[in-house]
Amino acid sequence: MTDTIVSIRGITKRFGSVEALKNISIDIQQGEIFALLGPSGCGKSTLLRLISGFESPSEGELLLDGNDMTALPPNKRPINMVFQSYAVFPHMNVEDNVAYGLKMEKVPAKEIKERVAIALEQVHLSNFSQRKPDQLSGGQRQRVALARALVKRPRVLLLDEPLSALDAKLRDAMRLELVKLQESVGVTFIIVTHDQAEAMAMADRIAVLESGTLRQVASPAELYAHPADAFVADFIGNINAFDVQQISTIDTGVALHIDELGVIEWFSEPPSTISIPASSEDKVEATLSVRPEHVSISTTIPANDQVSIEGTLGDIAFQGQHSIAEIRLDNGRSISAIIANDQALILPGANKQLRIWAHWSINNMLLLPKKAPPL
Amino acid sequence: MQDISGKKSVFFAFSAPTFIWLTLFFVVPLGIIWLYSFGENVTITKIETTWTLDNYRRILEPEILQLIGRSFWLAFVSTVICLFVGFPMALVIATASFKAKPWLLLLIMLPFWTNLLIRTYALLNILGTRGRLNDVLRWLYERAEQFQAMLGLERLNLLGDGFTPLTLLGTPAGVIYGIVYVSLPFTILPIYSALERMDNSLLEASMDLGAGQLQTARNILIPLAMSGIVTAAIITFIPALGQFLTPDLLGRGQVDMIANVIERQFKKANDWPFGSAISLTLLYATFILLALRSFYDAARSKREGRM
Repeated sequence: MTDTIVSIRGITKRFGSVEALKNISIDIQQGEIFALLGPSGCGKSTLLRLISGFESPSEGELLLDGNDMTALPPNKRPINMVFQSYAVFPHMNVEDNVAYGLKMEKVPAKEIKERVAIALEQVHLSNFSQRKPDQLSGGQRQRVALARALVKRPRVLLLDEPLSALDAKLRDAMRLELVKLQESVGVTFIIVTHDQAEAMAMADRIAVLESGTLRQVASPAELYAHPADAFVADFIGNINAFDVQQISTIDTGVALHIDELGVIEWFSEPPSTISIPASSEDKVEATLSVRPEHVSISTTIPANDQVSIEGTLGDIAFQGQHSIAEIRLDNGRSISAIIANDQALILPGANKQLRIWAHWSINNMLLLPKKAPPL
Repeated sequence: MQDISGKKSVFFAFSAPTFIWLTLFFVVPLGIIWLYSFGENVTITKIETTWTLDNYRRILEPEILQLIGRSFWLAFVSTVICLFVGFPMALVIATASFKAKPWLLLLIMLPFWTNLLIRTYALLNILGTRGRLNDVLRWLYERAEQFQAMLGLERLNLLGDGFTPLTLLGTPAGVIYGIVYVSLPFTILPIYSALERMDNSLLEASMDLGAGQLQTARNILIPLAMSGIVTAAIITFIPALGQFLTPDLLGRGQVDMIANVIERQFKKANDWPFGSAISLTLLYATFILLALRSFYDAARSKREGRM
């Protein structure tokens, strides 16, 4: 069992009449990379600003190492931030930027010099110490911001959309480097991002937020395999979702009535977050989903043990390692399947209107509530 | 639209009106003044350019030097007050919400919609010995007297023998008050535009790194606004130096500045050559100030480039 470093307890934040965060509680562990993930406007940045101290909560409290820090101003918190714009001071050179926080702490000049040199080395900027920010690239400016925060030896480092301003290639490299850096310094990282791939690749655990509520906190693998609800499933990776119209209890489990797939027998307990209506007339708020990588396509009727659906082959998008095929269902919807490039090559174009079957094993399906109650 | 940049004929056609206008009504008159400054009155209306330096020599007379010194002093004090009063306001406007910003800017610009003469006369009404400001002070004094009586402290005579109205008209304080009032918008706007461009997260980063509000203001806010502050200082100081109406009306002729002396040379004294010489000296002083500004900028960019 690891130690909790930051404890967010029942935080609600209101701006006027708008509730940006609704009763959020999260415990962040010492030494982990924790990602706050969600679409724009979900409140993730507000949460980060609350942890840094730039906003104060309307309700709830923030604990650091078990001590209440809710009322502490940002300059008194042992927490530092790498801003989305990096906020490198334009009138100071790299060295002065990195030394700034230590000067404010009144660290002796000799020690400042040593610590700044070490910090610059960590981010590979030793040769740039005398440069001005406008002589640096975006990636280098970000390293300055990183060194400037890490040199303070914070308990927690906050990163606001750390990779969004970098170009694609640099982004992948920096992603890896941030993880390595975190491993070497051992500081807890809290990363805000709207990019699920970024969160999946970097974080030990991810909190998914949506319109001010916390939907799920779990490891990337757990989130992907066992999303709490249809929102999380859709946000983390791609998914083909089918609305469940009716659920009825049968001997072996439940029967799911789905317009597009017919009646599917589900041989296990449905999640407790799905309420099974007493009457078959009542509306069911659930979806049955399958990820594109589990969907296969064939031009012949698939075996009986497979769940299948007939449609017309649509566009095929080449992705490099694989291709994504679009299957247009007869009701106008489309689902997607990841297929091997070999198979993609022998399939005709969308204009040929080829009738095909998309099929998958029921074991790969996820039965999810449309919306689980917020955590 | 056709690209007109770099076409010579278009350049000349479009710039000709301004060019002709400024030549006729700025360069030529200034040239005449320049010639006058080396001239002598031969008759009441005729001036001959004799290339004498007497007019410039007369500026070095103690009386005139003292006036120039006072003008610089009054302009300097007004500028300093403007910077201290204007900076917080510029900061407020720069950080105001999208809704409030245009209204605040409008408030700053509002005085320009009224004639300066009328505004200055209105100031007379406020600053006079029997003006509104003294009415307020008198009211406060009387309340204080009543309060003193209530406490039974009359014998201590804490408030003196009676209310003495504040004399502002005809004093340097009154003139400075007027100059500050007239100049404030010119101080606020350049500082505002410098602060407006600043990334707010720079200030947050400073706080995040452990600096307090005052340290952040000193280390980040003011250095980054410095070019705006220098512009504001110059754009406030130069017109303040040449103020005519404010010392004339609020100074009651007792706090003359250079412009008042120049006016007297062209009117009452009928000594155009001397008036021209003082005018041009003022112009040269302005040039020197602007040159200093360019040197400052050059030195700064060089320093920053090297570091």
